[in-house]
Amino acid sequence: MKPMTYEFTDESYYMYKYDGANFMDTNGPVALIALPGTESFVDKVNEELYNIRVKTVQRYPQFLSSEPGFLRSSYLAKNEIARFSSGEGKATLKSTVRGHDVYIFCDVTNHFETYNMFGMKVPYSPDDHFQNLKRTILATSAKARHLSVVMPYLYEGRQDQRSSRESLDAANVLKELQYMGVHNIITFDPHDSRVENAIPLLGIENIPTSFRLLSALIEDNPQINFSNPDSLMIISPDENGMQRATYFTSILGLPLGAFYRERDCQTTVDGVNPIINYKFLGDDLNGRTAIIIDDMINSAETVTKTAKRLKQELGAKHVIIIATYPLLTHGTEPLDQAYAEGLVDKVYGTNLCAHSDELLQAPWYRDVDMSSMTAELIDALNHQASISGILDQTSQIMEMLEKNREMQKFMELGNQ
Amino acid sequence: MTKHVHPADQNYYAYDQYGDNPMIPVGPIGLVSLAGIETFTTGVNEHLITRREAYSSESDRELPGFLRNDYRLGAVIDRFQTGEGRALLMDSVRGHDLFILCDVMNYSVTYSFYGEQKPMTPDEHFADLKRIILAASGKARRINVIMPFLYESRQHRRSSRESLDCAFMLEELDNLGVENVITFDAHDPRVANSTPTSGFESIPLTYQMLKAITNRIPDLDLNGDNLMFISPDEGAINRAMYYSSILNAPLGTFYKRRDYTQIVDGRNPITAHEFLGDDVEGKDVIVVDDMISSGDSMLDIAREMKERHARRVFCVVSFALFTSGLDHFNQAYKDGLIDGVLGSNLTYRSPELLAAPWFIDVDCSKFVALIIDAINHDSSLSTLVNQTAKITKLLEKTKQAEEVRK
Repeated sequence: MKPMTYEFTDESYYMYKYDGANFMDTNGPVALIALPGTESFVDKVNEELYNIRVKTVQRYPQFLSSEPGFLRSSYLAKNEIARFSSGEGKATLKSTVRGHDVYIFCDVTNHFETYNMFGMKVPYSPDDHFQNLKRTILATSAKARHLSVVMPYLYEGRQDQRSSRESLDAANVLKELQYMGVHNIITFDPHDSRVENAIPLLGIENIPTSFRLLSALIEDNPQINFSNPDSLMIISPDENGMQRATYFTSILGLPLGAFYRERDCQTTVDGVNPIINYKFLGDDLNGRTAIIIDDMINSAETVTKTAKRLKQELGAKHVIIIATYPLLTHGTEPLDQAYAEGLVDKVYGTNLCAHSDELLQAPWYRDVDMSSMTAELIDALNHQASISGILDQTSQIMEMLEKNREMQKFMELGNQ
Repeated sequence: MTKHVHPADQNYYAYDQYGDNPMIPVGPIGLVSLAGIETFTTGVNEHLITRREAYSSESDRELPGFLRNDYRLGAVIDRFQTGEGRALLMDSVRGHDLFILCDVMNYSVTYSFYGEQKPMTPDEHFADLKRIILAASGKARRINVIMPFLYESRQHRRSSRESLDCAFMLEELDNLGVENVITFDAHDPRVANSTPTSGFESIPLTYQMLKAITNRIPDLDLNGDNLMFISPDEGAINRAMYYSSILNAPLGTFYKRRDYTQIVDGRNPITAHEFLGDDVEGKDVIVVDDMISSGDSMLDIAREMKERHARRVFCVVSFALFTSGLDHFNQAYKDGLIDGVLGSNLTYRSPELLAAPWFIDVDCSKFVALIIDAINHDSSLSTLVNQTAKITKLLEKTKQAEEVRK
């Protein structure tokens, strides 16, 4: 191997380099801790991180001597959550985290995991998952050099404002984590990033998933001309999602349509204010492909209703749904049915939340893998490099759009 | 404001459970019940009404909110479809002295989770408790938590790379502005070290239990020689020692040799049981512990006692959890291994347990109402917590009754 050849003329020494030329000191050896329900995702991240590090070391072997624990076959630190028969629990770390840069992964949406309580098998609820997270932080008890929580779906993220005598759960969740000495909280596409106000000194990393979702969308659909504003429209299903949707419209140069819900704010049914009416704001949708952008699909009741209106009332040709978190609290049936009725053509979601087997096998679903991006983030954060390059991938999207345009031209020629 | 003061009372600070209390209450009382402890709270509320009606001083009775028909305040937990939640208070808590009651052991409460009814776990009960505090925060004059069974109380020490859950739970409550945490017969009261500047009370139930023993097992001779108290392990010996010294009865103890390096099914496996103590032959034996978890070790002890020809075996526990159901106890009762179990109504008891012929339910709602009244007055709790005087009186009474019978 040749000695280090990287040129230090770089003004952007702080930016994360995909080729591994990140020479800032690391926060110590990486340790990944998977809480119950995140194991398969963390395994993938672990593998991706290993791949990144192998490439880095091939180019810059000095990391092997300067950073102990830089390249390991596995970055996993084993953690065990024992449950007493009463349902209480404790966390025990099976390997040391002293001096490590620890990343604890927590997926509060995973209701497929179960444990024993009073002789019953109970599914893990978000509350249980969050307590598991805190238990694990307690078990690391100030031994870790740097402690990060990777909680893609922000627990209680929707309880972000007070309108009556009610609890501000999201804020307290963040405060608790800060109080426990967590150095960094990494969430993806939070419902409302203003909950960050709870911890102004710490802040949270809000990682957008839009780039990966968008590139999957462009890659999968060469037949769609993404540069033609007359054939496409980005749809926000409600007024809260407009910001998210405007991002897509501006990067793609497409028009926006938005629904706006009139709610009965006086009453609460099943935890939500009932919706009185939906109103559509936007251009004529007739014959266009509608792309609905949202952060999550809950029961899928709303989104199927929206799709129905788009297709049957407003005359959309195709309906594609993009949502970071397809939670599907009522199972896949509502969307199965909508697909069968031709209301929905495709749903794009990420593997940042837990999925049932039925969802993964559904013909209308495309799962977008976020593990490689997560591994890049961890590599960057471990190097204390700026992650803005990972957060803003506009240039990559532009390249993809260019390719899409070429493909369109090619297909036109083919048609002639 | 002129307050009625006991004439020549040096103990103005001590709580008098029968008379007036001269200290000024900390705002009107508000009882908030979490899911699963409503029945108990209703009992507490009734006792509190009775207690408050017994106050004679007009200056007390005229305090706003001092005398009410109902001290309970409405609170609900809304659950989103994902199982996340939020708390909503239905009544104003502004200026109130809040007492939030919470039973983390009530697994019979359910909520709808991804379309199914899910039993509530201790983690969820605790999360709900915090939600209520968050909903009340900044408005209530004072927040007190009554958590009879202390959540995570058995995770009180660190022996490897593990979490200290109980201590952190107390820190969290402290950070949320809770001034008093009231629990009963905590597994290890040393967890209070986690919040040295806030109020933590672990209140013994000795008097309530002894009263229940005298009332419900009338042929037990508390003053005679045929009684023995047993501690199931070295950790619980203080509890049994108190009973034996106050009743002047012999004490025996078991020694659990556990393998602390392992957890099987959520417990450290026991490698050996050894007994230290006098001959139990022909004696009525009372095993004292803080809780029956699965009940396996309690049955082991009962078996051991019967093998040593004890006459009857009773268990006195503050919390009868029975995490593995009742079958093994029903069988043991049939086999004559065990004669009775006394447990408090501070945690959930299943209908089957309440119907079991061997179970004696000990009502503590009046006791809790008195504690609330005392804390609301900022009175010293020592007359309620130190029960020696009351127990001596109780024993005197039973002795007299015995003599009359003779």
